[in-house]
Amino acid sequence: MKNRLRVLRAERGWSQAELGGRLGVSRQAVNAIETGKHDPSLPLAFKLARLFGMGIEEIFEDGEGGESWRV
Amino acid sequence: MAKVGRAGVSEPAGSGEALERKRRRRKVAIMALVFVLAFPAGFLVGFTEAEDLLVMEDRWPPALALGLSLAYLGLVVGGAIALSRQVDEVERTIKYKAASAAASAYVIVYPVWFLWWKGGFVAEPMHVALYIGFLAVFLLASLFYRFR
Repeated sequence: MKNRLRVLRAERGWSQAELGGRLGVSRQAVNAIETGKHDPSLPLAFKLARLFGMGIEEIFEDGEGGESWRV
Repeated sequence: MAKVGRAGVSEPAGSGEALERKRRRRKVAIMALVFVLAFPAGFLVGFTEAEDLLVMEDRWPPALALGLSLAYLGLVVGGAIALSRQVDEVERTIKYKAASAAASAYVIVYPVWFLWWKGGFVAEPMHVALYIGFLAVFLLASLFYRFR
């Protein structure tokens, strides 16, 4: 699943460890999500959405041809 | 809705990194504690039974066997519970996949070994070898899923 996590994190000047700490997960977990190796659980996706003040669909793209944040 | 981590968006920069460091230190401390507590048990076995450790017919003193099994259960179960509170969903998923790979290897290897033994081609299946094989596959699969 594609996502905008790296961009959103960079906009705030956070490292992966910084974001991981704020989410309660490891730096490796943030990296795995950013690179698409791991699709986060729904609770973690909600945590991310709340942390960035966005909707889940604004951070993640399901790749099924639905409404996309990509231009 | 799920709560944000302990350091929310309004927390100052660096607070998340501090929490992440703390979480990592707790995990390392638990693993170190399990190792330190397990070392005397391993030393005791090595000291008293090293010469016939893998001789299946040899019997150990009942008190030693009972004590070791209790120590093993306490450390494995206690360590697993303590660690499970520190690992995140990515690491947990890696462990699930690795355990699945190890179980698959066991399901494939044991029946074939058993049938070959029945056919007189190989020695009787050794449960110690199967156990070590399970752990080896689990470890290799964990490394694969972590670093792929």
